[in-house]
Amino acid sequence: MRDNTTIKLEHIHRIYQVGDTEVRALEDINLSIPEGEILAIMGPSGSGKSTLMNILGCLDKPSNGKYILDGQEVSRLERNKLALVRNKKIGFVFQSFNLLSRTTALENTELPLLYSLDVPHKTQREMAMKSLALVGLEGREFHKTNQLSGGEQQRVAIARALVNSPSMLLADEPTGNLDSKTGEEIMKIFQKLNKEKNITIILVTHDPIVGGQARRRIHLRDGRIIKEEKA
Amino acid sequence: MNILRIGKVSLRALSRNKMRSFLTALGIIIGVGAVIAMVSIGQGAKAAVEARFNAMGTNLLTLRAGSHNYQGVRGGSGTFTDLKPEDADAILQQCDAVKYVSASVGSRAQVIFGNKNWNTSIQGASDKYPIIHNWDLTAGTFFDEGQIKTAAKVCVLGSDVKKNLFEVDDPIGQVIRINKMPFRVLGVLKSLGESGGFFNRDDMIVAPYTTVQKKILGIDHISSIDISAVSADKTSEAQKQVQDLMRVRHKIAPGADDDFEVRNLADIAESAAASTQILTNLLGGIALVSLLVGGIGIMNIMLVSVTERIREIGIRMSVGAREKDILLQFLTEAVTLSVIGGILGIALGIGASKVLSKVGGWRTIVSTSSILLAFLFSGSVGVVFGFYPARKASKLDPIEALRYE
Repeated sequence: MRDNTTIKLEHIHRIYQVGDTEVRALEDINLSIPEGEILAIMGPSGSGKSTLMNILGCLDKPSNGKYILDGQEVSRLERNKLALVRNKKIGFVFQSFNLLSRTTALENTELPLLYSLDVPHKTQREMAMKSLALVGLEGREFHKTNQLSGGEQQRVAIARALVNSPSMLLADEPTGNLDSKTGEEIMKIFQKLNKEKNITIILVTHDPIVGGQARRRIHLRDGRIIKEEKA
Repeated sequence: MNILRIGKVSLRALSRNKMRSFLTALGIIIGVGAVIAMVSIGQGAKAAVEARFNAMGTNLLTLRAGSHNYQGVRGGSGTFTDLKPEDADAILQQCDAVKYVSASVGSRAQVIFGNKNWNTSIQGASDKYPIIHNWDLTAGTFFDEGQIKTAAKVCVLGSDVKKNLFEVDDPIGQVIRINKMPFRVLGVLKSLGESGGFFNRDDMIVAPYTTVQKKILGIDHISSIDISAVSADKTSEAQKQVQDLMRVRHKIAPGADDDFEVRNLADIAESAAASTQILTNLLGGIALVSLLVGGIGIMNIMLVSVTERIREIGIRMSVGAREKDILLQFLTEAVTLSVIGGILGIALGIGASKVLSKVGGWRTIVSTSSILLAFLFSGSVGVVFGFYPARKASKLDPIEALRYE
């Protein structure tokens, strides 16, 4: 049965083994995120928010617990299956943009499609152009990423995250490397995408201004959710 | 992810570091070039040897008087003196696999014409000598049976002897002196060129064996008999017949050693060809080592490239690249390098073998099989040496790769 819950975390634990000591990065996280939500995961460094983001982004697997994404349990999938989930359902936006340098905005945007099911290259191009237009980068498609400003680079990253129509965008300190004005512009794009396309957006940040834009905020400390607030 | 797009991605990555890509490919270029050039030299040598033996006649057998063995003291080859012209006649009559025979006896002598003189070898032979040795005359005629019977003082000159005694003049009908005896020149043999290093067959005079026996050496035996089998595939049969006949004629008891030896030119040709094949393999093998070194160069650069691009690998993984996508991308890069190197190497190898044959005067043959082999080998060098770095890249942890600075 498919309800409108995008993400469901049940008793998620993540334990690292460092030498003889166990590091409990996450302890008993329970979280449910409905479709179309804007959620901020907040907390100081070392609180476990990066670990949580990695698990939500299917880059890492929980040591214990269940993670259901779009009705599919993904917590026990092997590496290559997780890659497929990332490709289809998750769009990443990183603090440091993580674009391929010396490569055009268009080619960066196409990148996830390169690893998708076979669509003709022409169709991929069109999808990428549309995605770039969505973030306001018409006319910049053939610029190399190192010729673009920080704000423009982050918009290319958002276009890339959107190109495969994912279930959610996962943004890790998306404004961290930008000045406040450009940061606001990026946040406006997220708001717009959420309103117009009903895309679920998860913001991982320690910046209260960014967090303030979310409809719901959870606070982490020492691997546990200590507070949850709604706007 | 289709292979064409991967190819494009790989080509772009390689073209970003043009100099480095070229230097990496250079190892393969030189390796493949060396394989092709070296093998072409070996095969050229083999073909040259084969051509020389074919020119001598592949159905040729030589019967030589054996070594004298008296109470354990062995003389050298030809020390028996019981090989007679009658043996040659008997072989011709009684062995049906034999077509021609020529009794042969040799000497060296000083030859004089006018104010020129020259020291050369005198070959005593019968009238079938040119047919047996597949050797034409450029001028005049060879001596005939009648001149052999009468031990006429006539001779035919090798082209070098003609050059030394007559230069450009016509020698036919002229009289030269061999050991102070006058010999009339009947003809001149075609030049064979250097026929394989040890002796120059153009530097000799052919005369009737009877004349050489009686007038020059004063002996009644001969040193060998040249035998021509009826066809090339009958040489072994002819060899057997000659051996059997000679044992009977020389009354050799069963189990005792022959007092003669029969050599088959085809066998000699085969072993010579085999030894040049060994040379080819050796040269090719040495060149393959350089191709191997080129492969290690590719592995080295690919490892550097993977380390440099850990972040890129992380990005690709984060947007959904699977292990095999990353593996294929880096493997394609390595194979592209080695295949491009292979193609340029083939061009270099062909060019080098052309230059060697022009400048060095060596005969070289570039065979399709050596090109194919070098190309396939270079491709597999790319796969083998590219695999480890590519696998290393594909096994990276996406989280750490993304965090890598």
